[in-house]
Formats: sequence, C-alpha cells, structure tokens
Amino acid sequence: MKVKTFFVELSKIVLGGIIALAILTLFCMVYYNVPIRYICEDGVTDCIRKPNKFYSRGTEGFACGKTNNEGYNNLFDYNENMQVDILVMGSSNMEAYQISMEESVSSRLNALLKNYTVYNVGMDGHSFTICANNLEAAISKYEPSKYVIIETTSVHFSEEDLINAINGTVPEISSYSGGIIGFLQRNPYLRLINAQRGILMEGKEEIINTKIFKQENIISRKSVEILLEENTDVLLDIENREKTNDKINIITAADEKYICRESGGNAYINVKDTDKNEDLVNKLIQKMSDIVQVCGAKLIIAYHPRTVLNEDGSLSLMNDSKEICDFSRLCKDNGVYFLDMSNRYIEEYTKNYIIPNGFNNTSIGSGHMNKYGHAMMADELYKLIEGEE
Amino acid sequence: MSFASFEFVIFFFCIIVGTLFIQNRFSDRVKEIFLLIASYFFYGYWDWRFCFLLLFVTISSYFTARNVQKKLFYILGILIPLIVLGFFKYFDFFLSSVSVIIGNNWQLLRIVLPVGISFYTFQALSYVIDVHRGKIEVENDFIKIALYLSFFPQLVAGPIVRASDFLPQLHEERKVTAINIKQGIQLFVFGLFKKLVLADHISVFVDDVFRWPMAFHWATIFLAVISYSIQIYLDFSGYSDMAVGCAKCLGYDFKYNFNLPYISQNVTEFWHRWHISLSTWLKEYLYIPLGGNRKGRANYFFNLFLTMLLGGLWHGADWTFVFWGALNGLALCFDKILPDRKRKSIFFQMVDIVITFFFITFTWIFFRADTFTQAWLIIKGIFTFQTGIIQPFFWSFIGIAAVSFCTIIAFIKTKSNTISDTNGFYPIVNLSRVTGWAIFFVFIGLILGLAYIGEQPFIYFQF
Repeated sequence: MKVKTFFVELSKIVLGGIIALAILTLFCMVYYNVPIRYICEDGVTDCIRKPNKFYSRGTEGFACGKTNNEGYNNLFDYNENMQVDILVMGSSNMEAYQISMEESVSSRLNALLKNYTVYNVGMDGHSFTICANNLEAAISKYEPSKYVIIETTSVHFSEEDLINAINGTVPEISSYSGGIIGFLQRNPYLRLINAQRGILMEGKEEIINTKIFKQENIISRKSVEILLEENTDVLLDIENREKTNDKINIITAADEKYICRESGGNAYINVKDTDKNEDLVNKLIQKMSDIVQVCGAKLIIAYHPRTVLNEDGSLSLMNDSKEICDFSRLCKDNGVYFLDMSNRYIEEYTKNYIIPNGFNNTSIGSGHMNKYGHAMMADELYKLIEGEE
Repeated sequence: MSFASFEFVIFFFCIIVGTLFIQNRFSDRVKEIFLLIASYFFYGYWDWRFCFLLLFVTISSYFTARNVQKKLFYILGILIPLIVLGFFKYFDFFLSSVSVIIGNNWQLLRIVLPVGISFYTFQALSYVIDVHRGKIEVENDFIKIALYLSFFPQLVAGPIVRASDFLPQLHEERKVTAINIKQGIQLFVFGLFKKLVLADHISVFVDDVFRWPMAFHWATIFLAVISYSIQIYLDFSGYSDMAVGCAKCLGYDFKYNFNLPYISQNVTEFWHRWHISLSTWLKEYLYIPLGGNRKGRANYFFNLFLTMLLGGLWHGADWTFVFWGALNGLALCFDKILPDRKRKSIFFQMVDIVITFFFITFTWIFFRADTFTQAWLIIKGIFTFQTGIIQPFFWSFIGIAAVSFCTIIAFIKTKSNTISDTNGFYPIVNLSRVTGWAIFFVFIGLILGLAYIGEQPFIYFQF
C-alpha cells in the first residue's frame, strides 16, 4: 500500500513538473526566445542564428522579430542577385536583439540612405578582431560596392589578438548547437536557464571590475558647469575635447590604470597593457583595407566607447584619447574611415541626458546599445557617408 | 550563508534529511543538539569567530536567568547583551560622533559588525526579562536556550522570536512531516520569489539613483524612492517568509512578521503591520517600561518618540537611522493628537492610505541614504524638478503591480468594507494535487529564470 501511495505521489509530482515546464516554455516563447546558433559554413561570421525564426528577448530591453533567410537580423531576406552597397559587421550591438528591428543601425541606414542597400551580418560575440578574421569571406560573398562598416567598443587589443587577426588564426566562437547543450537549448525556457547560468559564472567578474573601474576621459554637463564656475576662460566646446578633458580629469582625478578591451567575443575592463602594439594595429588595418578595396569599397570602423555615470552625475567614457588619436591616425594613413562616437555621446548627454547604453530593465548606462545609441550611430554614419558622397 | 544561495539549499536539504533520520531513531535531545550544531555551522559560515560571541551571549543569558530574582543577575542579564551590542555595533559610531563634536580626530576601531547581532541580543534580553517578570519559567536546559538564541531560520535577520513563543515548542513533540515540508517549502519559495525576482531587480534601479542622484530627472528619482519602499518590503518580508518557511519545515512555528503594511491608514497602524516582531518587542520591553501612556500626555509622547528614536538606532549606527526613527516617532505622536476618525467611506480610507504611504516612503529616504547629503540630494532633486536622465524602470512597475495585486486579493478574501480588517495571506496550494505541483514548479521555474544574478544581500543583514 505504501509503495502504491509513493508511486501515485511521485506520478503527480512528475506530471506537475511536465505541466510546469510546458507553461514556462510558453512564457519564454515571448520573454526569451533567442534562436539557437549554428556554425556558419561560408565563414562570413563564425556562427549564424537559425534562419526565418521568430525571436524575442526581454532580459535586456525588449524586442521581437524574425531572423532573415540567412539567420541575420535584417528587415529583408538576402538573395544572390541582390547588390549589397553597405555591409555592416559587428557584435551583439549590431545584431541588435535588444531593440525593435526598425531601430537598429542597419535598418536606420537603409531608411536614411534610400539609394543604397545596407545589409547587416552583425552577430553576438563577434568583436573587432573576429570581424577582421571573417572580413575576406564576407567581402567575397556579398561584394559590397560602397562601404563595409565594422563596429567596435574598443580600439585596445592584446598582442595575441592582433597577431591572430593578421594571420587569420583567431579562434572561432563555438555555436554550442550540438550535443546535450544544443539539444537543451531548443527549449526557450532551458535556454533562459542556460543564459542565467552564464551570467552567474561570468557576471561576477564583470561586477567586480565595474566597481573598481575608474574613468579616463571625463566630460559632462555637470563637470563642465563646475569647470566654468571655477575657470571662466574655458568655454564649453564639445569639439575641443582634448582641452576640456584635461581640465576635467584634474577635477575627477581619474585613474589611468584601466581600459575597456575586447577579446574572444567579449568586452573586458582590464588593466591597461603597457605595450602600444602600434605596428601590429597598423598591419591589421592595412590588411583589412586591402581586403575591402578588392571590391572597390571603403572601410569604416565605427567606434563607440562604453559609458559610465559618475557620482557627481557626470558621464564618463571608457577610453583613452591618446590611443584613439593613434588609432584614428593609423586608419587615415591606410585610407580607412574612423568614426568615433565619443563626441556625439557626450553631446547627447550634455544636451538631452540621453545615454547610448542600457535599458528600462537594466542598470543605467550598462549593457548593449539602446535605441538612442543606434540612432546616434546611424546618424553619424549617415553624415559621414553623405559627406563623402 | 544566505537563504538565497545554492549553499543554503544544500545545507537545508541536509538538515531536513538529518532531522528526519534522527527523529525516527533517536530522542528529541539528539535532534536539538543536531539543530544546534547546524545553527552554529550556519552562523560560522560567515565568520566562525563570531560563534564565540553568540555562545558568550547564550551562556550569560542562561546563567543570569537562573538567578534572575537577584537584582545583580537581572542587571547583568540585561547589561551583557547590551554591552555586546553596544560595543560591536555602536562603539565606532559613538567615537566618531564624539570626535566630531569635540573636534578631535580619534582613530576608529573599525569593528566588524557580526551578522544578526541586533536580533539575537534582543532575543536574549526578552528571555531574561520574561523570566524576571514571571511570564515564562526559567529554562534549565542549556541546549534549549542555545537553540532558541541560535536557531538558524531566525538567527541573522529575524523575526525576533520571543522565548515565550519558542521555548514551549522545544518541549513539545515537533517533527519534520510531509505536511510541514509542503507548507514550509511553499512559504520559503514565496519569500525567495519576492527577494530574488522582485526586490533584487528593483534594487538595481534604486542603487543607481541613490548613487548618482544628481544625474536623474525628478520623476525618475521619485520613482526610485517609491521603488525603495517596495524593495525593502519585498526584501525583508521575503526573508521573513523564508525564515517562517524553514522553521515550518522543521516543525516549528514562527509568527508572521508583516501584514500588508502599505494599506495602513496611519503611522500607528503601519507599525502594527511592519516588522511586527520588532514593534511588539519595542512596545513590551522599552515603551511600557518607560511608562507607556500612563504618566500624563507629555510623558506619553516622550515615550513614544524615544522608543522610535531608539528603534531607529537599533537599525543602524548612523544618524540617518536616528533621524528616520525620530520622524516616525513624531508621526506617532501626531497620530495621537489627531481626533479618532471613524470614516466609513472607502474613498477616505484610500486617502489615508495614500498619505501614510507617501509619508513612510519619505522617511525611507533617510533609511536608504548613506549620508544626509545623499538624502538631501534626493529630496532636492524631486522638489526642484531637477532635469536629468529619465528611466521608467520596468521592474519597479512589476513590483508595484505585484504588491497591489496581492493586496487587492487579500482585501477581497477578507470580505469586509473596512480596509484595516484586511490581513495578509500566503498562496499555499494543495500539493496533493497535480495542479498544485504544477503551480509550485512554475514558481520555482520563474525564480530560476527571472532571478537577478548578482550579489544583493538582504537589507536587514546589515542590522
């Protein structure tokens, strides 16, 4: 009798568990339903999402949509007869699963540049050196006639990453589409649990890093107000960043020890390397420029620094103006356009208190680019392209 | 270890299995010793050295209570826990305050605050005083006293369990049963949901705004202040639910610590519904011995004010807490001055609820702020209609909606036209049915999927 009761109770628990999983799966079909990634055979990116798949994501902002026939986030499908004028490459910021499809950089550029077709192959984890590694395959497939835009949150790379990118030996990002993890990820709820596990394992380091982080270049409305009170000959001139930054750095006593760096598909806040690796950076940019020029296009590197709020209400950029200047110069020397979003970010914060990163369900200013960040970048890219045309 | 950690899940599972094994084979004595060792392990997981402090308070309470009819022992029974509390919690605060007044720059001792010291010292005091008053018999069994003071579900952040409530349970046959586990685990999960899914997510926004008050738009700051009211309620009531649930699993009953505090129509009612174990403790062991309402109106107001002032200080060694207590004390006095309003209309009851909520929310600013400057920046930001970042934080609205929804359900369940008759409830489902299990698993699934991943300690751990 006891055995029978036990099995009856157990079957109720199991059945209850199955029903609960079904309910949670339904919930996650709306809340967190990011398509699984597969290996990208043509090498344009290391991996692609499942094509023509509905997606939704509510963990950071909220957006839903459908991947195109190639598994990328575009409002239209790709076909072989299509003439791609501008190819957009980059990481999760360009993949733009945090905002609606119409608000992404590529969609906005498509709307702004009516005569051009802008195609987005941005994919989660594809930081600058990985994009550089895949550039040749991307050019060979899409043959963009006008521009290739590569987005990056950092211009600070380790020697190892640079050498790998130059030699084409950057380790590929795993898709995790096979095996038991791949199988489990087919269920949206289990994908969410896996994402939570990922944050748990990796997030702690980032939290610690964020806490210890001190900013380098600091400029903001409030800091400038203080500055103006103390020194009336310093004018608020956004274009004159170097001068203003120097003054504000004195006020905020910024620590120059830390820097934002991208590697292996992730962004880190690290102790700054002492080596500048200028030769290697130059070689990489030269190589990328040569690849792009094969199809007669031009390369644009769109740099958008990470932002951090300070206790006095000012906004900081995680960058190093000297390094940006050096990078910008190397780009210019190799015929590559370098778009630095720093000024625009500061201008928007100063005038409208708009921060390019963060969402209504995350910490202020942290995480991916929001719709304002995308709009700013699209606007700046549009200005640059219009200016050149 | 925190209730909201994997370590605790493993620990608690071992305790349940261990207690089940012991209760069927050995005497209650062995079970008590097992729970005592487990409780000290739980406490020592933070810092094993403080186990000795807990033991010291236990020994002093045990021996002084045995001789409590002698005045010296009674005084010692009260003084020792107070000195322990005073030294570890208030010495640096006292030193820094005095040094500011006299202009000296004294070196602070930087004493580490032992987790839960405010709670177990108050429990020790209540035991000695209750024995002295003859409310309970002196407990001759040291193990029982030690278990009462260290019992892990209530050890670090309450509720402040009274000896008269807990010690008799140790003399009864209390067992881990399927019914107890089914009820207790649901209470625990309910509390965990409040903490990890709602309170912790809201804390992200509140922390941001309190850290950078100058950066935000006044409406955002206002939302953050409201959000903190919701956060602290969900955080602390969540912890209390978990404590009650843990104890229930092991066969022991704690009184509930919260009863829908934000439907209070005045501050007096609020303190009957918020942190009930502390309010009743302060009333019985501080307010009444001070004279209560017996020695004239001036003394009555003074006693009320002083009780709340000290209640504020109990929360933390900082002038912001003292000020928070003083505000509540003044509000209590003001309540007594007002004529007794016997309004029947729901509308006026709602008006009173809103006024009380906003007053309590205003006082929380001082509770949350690290300094008066920070509190001032928050208040100034709201009242000067500061411009800045606009952030309509999603989880704040979810938290407000969740609390409002549960309150409305409670009101409907009470079936009364008077809101003050409304009592809180726990969504306990029938786990002998498949639907019950399904709902329970959905709750657990939502916690796993939606929990904020980050180190957010319980707010009341710092007290």
